[in-house]
Amino acid sequence: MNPTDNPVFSPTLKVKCDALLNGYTDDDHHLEFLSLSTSDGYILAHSRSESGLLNCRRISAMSSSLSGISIELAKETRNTNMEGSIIECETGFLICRLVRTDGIDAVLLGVFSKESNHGMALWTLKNIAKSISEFLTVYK
Amino acid sequence: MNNGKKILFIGSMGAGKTTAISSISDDPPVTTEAMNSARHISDKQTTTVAMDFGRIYLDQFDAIDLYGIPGQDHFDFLWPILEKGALGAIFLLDCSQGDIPETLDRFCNAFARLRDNNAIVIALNRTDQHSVQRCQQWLFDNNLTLPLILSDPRERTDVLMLLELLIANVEAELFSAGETQ
Repeated sequence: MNPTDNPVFSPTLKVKCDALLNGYTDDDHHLEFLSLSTSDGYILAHSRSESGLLNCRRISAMSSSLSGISIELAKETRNTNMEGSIIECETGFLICRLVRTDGIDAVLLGVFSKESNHGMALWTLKNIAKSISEFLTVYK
Repeated sequence: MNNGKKILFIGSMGAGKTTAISSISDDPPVTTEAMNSARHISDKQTTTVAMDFGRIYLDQFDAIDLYGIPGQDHFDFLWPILEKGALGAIFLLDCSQGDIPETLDRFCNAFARLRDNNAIVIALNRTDQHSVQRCQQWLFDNNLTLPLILSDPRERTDVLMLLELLIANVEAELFSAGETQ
């Protein structure tokens, strides 16, 4: 199924979310890419990527799988209310964060360059998630 | 305790994979469920986004690990990862949803190694006479002899029977492969 076939994705919502995410990546040079997906792996929005070669469909599905595994791993270790997970790489790091609203459960993925640091990246993505949550609540 | 036997549960979203694993797992199953936003495909509230995992103990020393795939196409990157080392698959097919031949094509091609080893059992639910005939015709057209069974994934005895049938088939294939070598 084409991701745009999903009724969650009205064209208006997608355009507004894309613009929102592009605003964040334009403002922060350490934030290379943002992707917003439903928790079941459909693309909701994503920022422009520098290379333009990223497969956003796969990234959305992988983000939701990572969140699903992270939630269960947290439960298995007797932790509750998983909020996010981090992948560290030599070239930077990725942070996945749940964005829960009344209407949509979403997953926000942020890709940060190695020039960023954990604290700053976590703080940045937490604030973006809060803004998106407010935006989606208003939109609903 | 476990010597690494691995069985997959494959099929489309809503076919009953999570339910089937829950029906037979001796340990509490691990599920990765998220809110289902594709309600026009399946009306269930949640859907699997990474995998299901359960375990059934055969005796004191032997167990089978049960892995369920996420059934939606956009999770197909996970299918080959989950398929690694699997002895076989139980293919759950809800005959009331989707195009039956297309679904059979899609999953049997995605798990071609298991298909070619006759290591897939096709378990039909929500069937009618017409849908069973379509499955039989598809097997005939594709020159396949995979077992075709009517079953209810909610029923432990049904799922256990599928598992026993699959293991018997896999053992028979291994035996005949050994004979020919």
